[in-house]
Amino acid sequence: MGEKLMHVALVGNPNSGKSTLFNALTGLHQKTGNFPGVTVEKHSGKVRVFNPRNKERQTINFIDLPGTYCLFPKSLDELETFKVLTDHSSDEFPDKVLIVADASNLKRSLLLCLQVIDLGIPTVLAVNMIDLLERSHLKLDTVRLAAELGIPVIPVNARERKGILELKQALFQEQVGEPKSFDNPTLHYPGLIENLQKATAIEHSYEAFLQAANYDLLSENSPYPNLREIVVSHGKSPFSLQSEESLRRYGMIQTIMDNCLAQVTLTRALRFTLKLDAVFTHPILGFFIFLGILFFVFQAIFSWAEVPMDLIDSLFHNTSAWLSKSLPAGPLNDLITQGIIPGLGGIFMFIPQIAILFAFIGILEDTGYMARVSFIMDRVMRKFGINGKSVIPLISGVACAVPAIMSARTIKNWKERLITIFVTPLMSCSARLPVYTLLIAIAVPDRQFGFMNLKGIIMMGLYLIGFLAALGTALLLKWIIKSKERSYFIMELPVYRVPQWRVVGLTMVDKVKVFIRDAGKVIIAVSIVLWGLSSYGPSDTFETLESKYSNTELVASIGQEEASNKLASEKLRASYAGILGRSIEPVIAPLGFDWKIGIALVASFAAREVFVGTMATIYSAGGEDETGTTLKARMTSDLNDRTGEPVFTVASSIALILFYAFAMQCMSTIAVVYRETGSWKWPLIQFVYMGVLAWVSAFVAFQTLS
Amino acid sequence: MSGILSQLSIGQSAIIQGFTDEEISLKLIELGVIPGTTVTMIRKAPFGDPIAFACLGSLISVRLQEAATVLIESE
Repeated sequence: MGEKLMHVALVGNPNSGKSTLFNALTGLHQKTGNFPGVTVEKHSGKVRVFNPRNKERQTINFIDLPGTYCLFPKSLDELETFKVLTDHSSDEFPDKVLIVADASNLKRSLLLCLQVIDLGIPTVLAVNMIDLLERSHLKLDTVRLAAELGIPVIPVNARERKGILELKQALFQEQVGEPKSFDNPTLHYPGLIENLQKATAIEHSYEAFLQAANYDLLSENSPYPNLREIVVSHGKSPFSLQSEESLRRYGMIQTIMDNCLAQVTLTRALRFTLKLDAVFTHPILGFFIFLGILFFVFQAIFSWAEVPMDLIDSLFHNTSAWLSKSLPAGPLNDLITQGIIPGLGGIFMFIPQIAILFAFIGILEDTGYMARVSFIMDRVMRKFGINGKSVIPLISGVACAVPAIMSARTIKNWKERLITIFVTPLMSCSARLPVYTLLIAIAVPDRQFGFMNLKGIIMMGLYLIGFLAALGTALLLKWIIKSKERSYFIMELPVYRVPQWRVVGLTMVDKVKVFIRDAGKVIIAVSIVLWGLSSYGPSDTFETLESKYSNTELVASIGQEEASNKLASEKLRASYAGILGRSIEPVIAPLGFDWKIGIALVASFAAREVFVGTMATIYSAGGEDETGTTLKARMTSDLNDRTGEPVFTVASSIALILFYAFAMQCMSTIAVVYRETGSWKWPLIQFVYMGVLAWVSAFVAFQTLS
Repeated sequence: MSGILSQLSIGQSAIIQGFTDEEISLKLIELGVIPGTTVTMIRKAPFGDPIAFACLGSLISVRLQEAATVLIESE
């Protein structure tokens, strides 16, 4: 065959509709959203496209690169775009670059476009949302623009999938004539560029220039000698190279625009946005609207999810009961019906809540509202050593800390970013929901206050506690961490738009899938290990117990049922899991926890949501149950075999809730913090800090309440 | 009348003249805030900081201390 794969990199300003166009081109589903920078990872998708030149189908590999305003990266995700466009040794080095420009912001997109053209990679320009421009009575002459730029220019509407076919065909067009060059650095800095070319052995003058202009950001892993010194020896600085080049280019862009388009004034979309902003960013009303939205989201999570949750719960319960009767009795039956199915049920039950939560976050991001939240919160957040942009990771942290921590990449200041990463896991994530729901059901009575339920209020209180702990910790870190780096808050506020329901829906489905897949894997593994540990004990302890309870006199004196319950609970106590739980009991006894909770705590260090499944495993292993008592009832009736008191009192349940609120019990978060901070130092400090916080607060709560 | 961007009151327009801070200017230049363009002050966040101004048909938000490094000539 010998067919050559064509790599096409999508490059564009944030919010230019690049991710939406990528979806339209590839048919692959990925998240699109608003500021700041949702596209932090590289996404790619292969499609076969009919090539009209040779009448054959050819495969194009589209690579969606992080949004950037120019080739002078400021943040880590922008740096990725720069690297892909300059790393010729990469297998995926783009054969073509597809610049995605927002028609109403064409000037700014052209800056990036001219830079990419000067890099010498064949380029195609897609002008997105051109119909919006026409609605504001402006006409862009794309033919003229193509002539000015020397590249194909295709008008598209990514959301409505218009112009996609034409765009794909344009990718097969060959360059006509010599490619244009707009800003030749050799003309402006002859001696400097010659020296840079020698030092870097890069022949291409603009590429050599870029390596020097970006040297401050690249220096850590730059393979070149100190380019900064060379730049300085010519009386320039990397900064001045960048600003001089941008200003020269904007000069050219003005001429190009004058030829192709009438002067842009306020577009209709912007006028509408300004009206909405008068409400959403109002000094007083703005805060109340934000609080109101949060409140509505939490109430929705609890009231809308209730019915489907009960359905899923009873479905798993019935399946497990049915299987336990129909499968032959034995260890395998126990593993499936007491370990795996209840464990999975504990996870599936939370699908409705997680789906609702992510749907709301998706809508808030996609409409452009999240950027306003950053805007109104920046002043407050600054007091805590973080940035208005930290609000987005913090709010996303309510869903899951892992993507939230990754979204902190848009914060350019290292100290602010580190603090945001450090405190985000304190926000109540969705994995805590199962634990909270179960424990609140035990500790909090069902009472109604107007339209609100007491349980719902307590749950909101827990979210608030997480948020306050995050802020308090941020304040602490602000004093501890020293940094000379300056903090910025320069960002675009995108225009408001109707959310793309399809994208919101896909995001929701995707997040739920990831939750089930990741949590499910851990749950099954932990269920199996736990079941093994709780069903077996060292040497002959189990036989001894069996023979003790096979004594007919003893059975006769306490009754058949009582005897079998006692046997089961003594077996659990003597099992490996029981030994493990009892060995950590001295540490957790001051918090009101017994060794059974100890087992659940140890298991939960992999992931919090394991708690419910573990409780299900432990409590069904603790006694055969034919009446179908629910987990909650079994837990409340359980007695601490050291004190004889109930295990789950209000005090111990609250202590346990607080423990789960603060402790770092999530392997995925630890892994992502390691990846994002580049060392084990921060995840380790975070783990210890959160552990101490969890223990102390649980201790205080238990001692004062009991 | 010449001044700095942070002094502009809501609804007022001005033309960008230059910058006093190179690092901040780079970030603004890539957003299209360049000498010669007209900016209009649109809004201030609660407590008066950050601010939002319109430039080239889009809304850009900056902190007061950053706006103070932008030199303007108001009409």
